[in-house]
Amino acid sequence: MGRESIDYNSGVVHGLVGELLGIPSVSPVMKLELDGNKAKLAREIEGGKENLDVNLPFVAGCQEPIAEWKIPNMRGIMSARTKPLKVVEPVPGDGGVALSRYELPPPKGAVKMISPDNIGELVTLLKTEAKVL
Amino acid sequence: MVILVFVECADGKVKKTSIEALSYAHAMGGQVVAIALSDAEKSELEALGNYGASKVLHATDEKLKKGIIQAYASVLAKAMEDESADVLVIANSSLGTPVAARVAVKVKASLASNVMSLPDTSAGFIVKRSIYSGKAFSFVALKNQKKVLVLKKNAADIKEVGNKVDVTPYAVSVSDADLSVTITSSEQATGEILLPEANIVVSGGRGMKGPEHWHLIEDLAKVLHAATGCSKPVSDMGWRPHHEHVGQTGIKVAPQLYIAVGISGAIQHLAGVNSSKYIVVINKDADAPFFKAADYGIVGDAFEVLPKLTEAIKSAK
Repeated sequence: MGRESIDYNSGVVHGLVGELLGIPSVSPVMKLELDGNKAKLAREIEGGKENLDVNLPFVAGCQEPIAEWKIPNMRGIMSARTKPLKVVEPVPGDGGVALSRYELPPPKGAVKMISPDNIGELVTLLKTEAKVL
Repeated sequence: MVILVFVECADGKVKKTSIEALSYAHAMGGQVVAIALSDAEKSELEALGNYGASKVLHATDEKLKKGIIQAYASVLAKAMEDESADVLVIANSSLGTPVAARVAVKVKASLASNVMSLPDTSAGFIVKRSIYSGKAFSFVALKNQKKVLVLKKNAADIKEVGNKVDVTPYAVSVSDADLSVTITSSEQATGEILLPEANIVVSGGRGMKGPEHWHLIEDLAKVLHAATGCSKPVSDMGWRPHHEHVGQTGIKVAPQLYIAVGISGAIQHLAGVNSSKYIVVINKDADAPFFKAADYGIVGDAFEVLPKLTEAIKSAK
C-alpha cells in the first residue's frame, strides 16, 4: 500500500494492518527486492535510509522510487474488462474516533515583492517583521 | 492522568521534536512520564525535567539500540500499562508514526496523527489534525479511554519549567517475534541539520541548472544555520539525495522560514511546505505560481541574488 494518502495523510494504516495481522510492518519503503521467502527493503529515515531484511509475510507502506510506472497496453485494458470484479462489503469497525468537522486554513496574505537590487530590504523584513533571523 | 511521551534520540541527543512532545504533554496537564529506548546521554535525559517530565524511563537493552518498529511498539505498550498511562504522545517521524499505529492497536487506543494543537477537552477530547497535505484541517473526537497522539512539528511551543528529574532504568524483555525485521545497515548524513527538525530550510529547484551550482544554496544555508532541501525533479535527476526532497511525496517541512530558489511551486511541492511560517521565493519567472504562496518574493536570477543575499545576511549578523 502507499505510505499515507489512503488515511488522510495519517500514515498509520500499514502499522494498523500489520499489528492486527500480527506481522511486521515497514514504512516508508523505497526499495523492495523479493528473494523466495525473504525480502530486502530500504526504508527512508531522517537524513538518509535504512536497509532491512524481513521474512514474508509483511506489510509495506511504500513511497517513491519504489517501482517504475507500468502503463497498461490496449490489449491489457481490454482483457481486464472480462475479468470478474468482486465487490467486498466493508466491515464496520470502531477505531474509537469520530470526525466532528472540517476547517480551511486562513487565506494567505499578499506577497511582498522586493527588488533584486535591494536585498537589504528582505533581510530587514526577515529581521523585524518575520523575526526569523 | 498520566501521559507517556516517547523521546526519540539521534546521536545520543534528544530530538527537538520530542522536546516539543514533552512541552505538549506538560501543557495538557497531568503527570508526564518520558521514555527513551535508544542510546542517550544521561545529561540529555536528566534535562527532560526542564521541559515538564516528572519521571524519565530509560531502557538500555542492546536489542533496542536500533529503531525496530515492532519492538518499540511492544515496549511502549507495556510502559503505558506499567505507568497506568492513558495517553501516549509521540512526535511525528519515520519511526514515531509507524510505532504509534501499532501501539494503538495493542492497547485499544483512539489514534490521531498530524495533531496540530492541544486537545479541546471542554466536551470530550477533540484534536485538530492537518489533512490533505495541509490544505485543510479536521477535528476528531477520540472516544476511547486510551489515546495515542502523533504530533506534527510546532504542535506546541517549547517551554522550560525548571524541574529536576532522575533517570530511572526501565527493564524490558524483547521477544524474538518483535525482532523479525533486521536492520542490516543504514546510510545517514552526519553533521547536517536534519530537514524535519530545521528552523530554516533553503531549497533549490531546476532553476539551479545543475548540482555543480549547489554551493550557492549551501552557502546561504550555512549562514542561516539552515537545512538544505530540493524539489522533486532535482532528486529524480540525482542532483541531490532523495532524503532532501521536499514535497507531497517527500519530506513535509514546517520551519519558521522556507526559502525556495528556482522552484516554480507545483502543487505537490507546496503540499510539503505550506506549514512553513514564512516563505521567501526567488525565481526569475514573475509568473511562477510559488509567488502566490509566498510572503516575500524576488524576481531575479538565482545566480546573482543568492550570493548577494548570503553576504547581506552575513553582514547583518
